[in-house]
Amino acid sequence: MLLGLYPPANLLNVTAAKIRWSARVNCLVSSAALRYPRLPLAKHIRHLLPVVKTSMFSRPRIFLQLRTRVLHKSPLVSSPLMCSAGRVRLHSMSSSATPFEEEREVDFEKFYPMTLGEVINNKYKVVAKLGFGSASTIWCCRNLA
Amino acid sequence: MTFGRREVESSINQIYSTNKYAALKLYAHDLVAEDEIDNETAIYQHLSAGNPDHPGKMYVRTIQDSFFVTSRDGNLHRCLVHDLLSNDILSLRYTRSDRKLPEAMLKQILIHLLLALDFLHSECHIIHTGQVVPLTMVYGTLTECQI
Repeated sequence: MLLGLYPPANLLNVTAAKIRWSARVNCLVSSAALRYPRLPLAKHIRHLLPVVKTSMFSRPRIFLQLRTRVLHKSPLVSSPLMCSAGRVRLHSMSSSATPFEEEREVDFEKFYPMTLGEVINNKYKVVAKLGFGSASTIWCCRNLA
Repeated sequence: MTFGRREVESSINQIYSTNKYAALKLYAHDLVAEDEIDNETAIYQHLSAGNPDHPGKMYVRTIQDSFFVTSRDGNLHRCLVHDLLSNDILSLRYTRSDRKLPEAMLKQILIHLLLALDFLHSECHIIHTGQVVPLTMVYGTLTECQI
């Protein structure tokens, strides 16, 4: 008798729905992590980590959200398998199976075909992608000079 | 492995002092008019020539360099080199669980924003005609200006 009455039926339904929902969310999260393995872990961007200063006239706090895996610091050669980011290889070829970020833009083949680790102007070694716009891409670079 | 605040600060100071890192903005080939980019670099140079004693100057993005790059397809791309800045305020908002900036943080952001605007108005005589809603604006990037 008591077991039949408690917990009430509607409460049971709610918890069941909650469990189903959280299972779905977990599933989504894990599939996103599989699809976008480029997002860096904290240990990869420690050398770019933020500082908090509280003075009114201090420089604003930096927190970087990089869109690619950060290239390992030591090697100067780039391996195209490891560092696929943005426009890679041929101009008609995408970095992944599905169009990624600015590759969905209309004239995406006019964007610069970038490989992580590339040295631009003999001075700037590309470390990670920061973002993109309708006509440009922004890259985080290490100044070799 | 712990990573203390002091080390973080020193590494950030290193970034600022040695110009070890930079943000490269690579324009698409033949998608933006050349004179538009020239106008952008001219405004950056005008801004960096402004009064360095003004407290708002450090909140305005500066340009370090500008050159042409040839891609492996043989196209010429314009490239601007900037200081490394942080994310925009929208993504800062999205790091919060309630999608709202706390009041203290918002106050700081507005102070920085107004100082930068004051620098543009009173020192450089530039009117910021872009969106001055701090939700969409990148910190310190007041680039959409017209003289």
